[in-house]
Amino acid sequence: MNKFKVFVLLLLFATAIFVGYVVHVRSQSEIPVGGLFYKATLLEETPNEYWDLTDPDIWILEAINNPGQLIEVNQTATTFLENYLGPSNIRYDNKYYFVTATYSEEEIGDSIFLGPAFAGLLTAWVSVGSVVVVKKFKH
Amino acid sequence: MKMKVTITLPLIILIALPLFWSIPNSSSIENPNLSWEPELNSESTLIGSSSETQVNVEPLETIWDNAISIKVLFAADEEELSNSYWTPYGYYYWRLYAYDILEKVNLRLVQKFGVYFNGWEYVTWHSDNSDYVNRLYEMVNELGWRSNRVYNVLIGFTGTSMSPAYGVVDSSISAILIHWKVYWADDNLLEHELGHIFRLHDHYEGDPHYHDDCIMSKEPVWQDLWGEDGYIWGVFAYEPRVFFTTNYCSLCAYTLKANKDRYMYWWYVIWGKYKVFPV
Repeated sequence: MNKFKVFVLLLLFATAIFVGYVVHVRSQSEIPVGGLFYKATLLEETPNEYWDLTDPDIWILEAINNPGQLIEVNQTATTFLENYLGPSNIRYDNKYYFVTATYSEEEIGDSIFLGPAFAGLLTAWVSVGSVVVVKKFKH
Repeated sequence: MKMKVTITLPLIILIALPLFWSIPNSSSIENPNLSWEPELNSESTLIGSSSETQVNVEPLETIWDNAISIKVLFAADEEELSNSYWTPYGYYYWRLYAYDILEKVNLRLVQKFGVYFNGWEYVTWHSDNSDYVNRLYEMVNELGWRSNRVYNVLIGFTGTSMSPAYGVVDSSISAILIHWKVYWADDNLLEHELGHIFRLHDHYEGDPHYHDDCIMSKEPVWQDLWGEDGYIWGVFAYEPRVFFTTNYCSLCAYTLKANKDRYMYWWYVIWGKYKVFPV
């Protein structure tokens, strides 16, 4: 078996691995997509300014019950956002909290491996094809 | 014969696979089925024979002149100041890159909605590289940011990763923080975040607009290759639809059109009611 055939076989193997890996990645449909998050921080001292939270929805309540944690919110159902005018201090149940509401977008995946791998394989196969055509014409 | 098959078969698979997988996503290129219509003045002419391909060919200068201008203040942290980013036109330092990406977004917004973001002024801030939510408010706090008549929106950039976040926004105070990632996605990210400024919500599973061809949709879409500005990127991943469309669903288009000229009004109201931001 000459070197060229070995190269083609290795290329075939690499292509099979590439296609298999892409199919595997494609089957993993769960991706993090970010969202709207509430966060409440319990204040130990009474702030100078605050507003009273009178009609909390379940998400801001969850944030208040879990200080410091980001609580994902149903954006179309929440009512807290109507009263939220930026990061601020609130009073609820005689306790004071600093609350924030932020949208976040998750990072996109890194394509540093698959993109170049695809380009490399494509180039290699086109080159192999060209070599075969040239050889054929020479014969 | 065997050799021919051995060579041509993988070649065909390599080329055909991305094309095959791209077919379900091809609708993201163009979605004419929007329930809103572009505004056409009486002197506008139409291109195309069907109503679906109507395009406003009013001179771009006129569109810009008549558009609502929203003033942007750029802010970069100390790491971002030394960053430069790849574009098809060469490497741009952070400020030029931000301006370039914003202009891409502006071209779409001004033609669809008659609104654009005017940003060239910038300030710097010092980040402690805290988590992404804290970093946003760290910037807001440090700059003493309040949306006002001179600057309506703050777009901040951080040079270090905010992983797992790509961009974060508090729409109530019109503040955005972004860590640029890659040229083909950055413009869509910025447009999506600016959408939140106009009170657009994300579309999640269960939302009636989840499957719509909308820049606010978080539906995962498989993309193998993605072309933009004459270059092709290998994506090979599920990413939110956000990054593969520049269209808006009927709800988002309606909301954006309704809110675009109320921008200052919000802030007159909020200015009076604004509570406190701890220093």
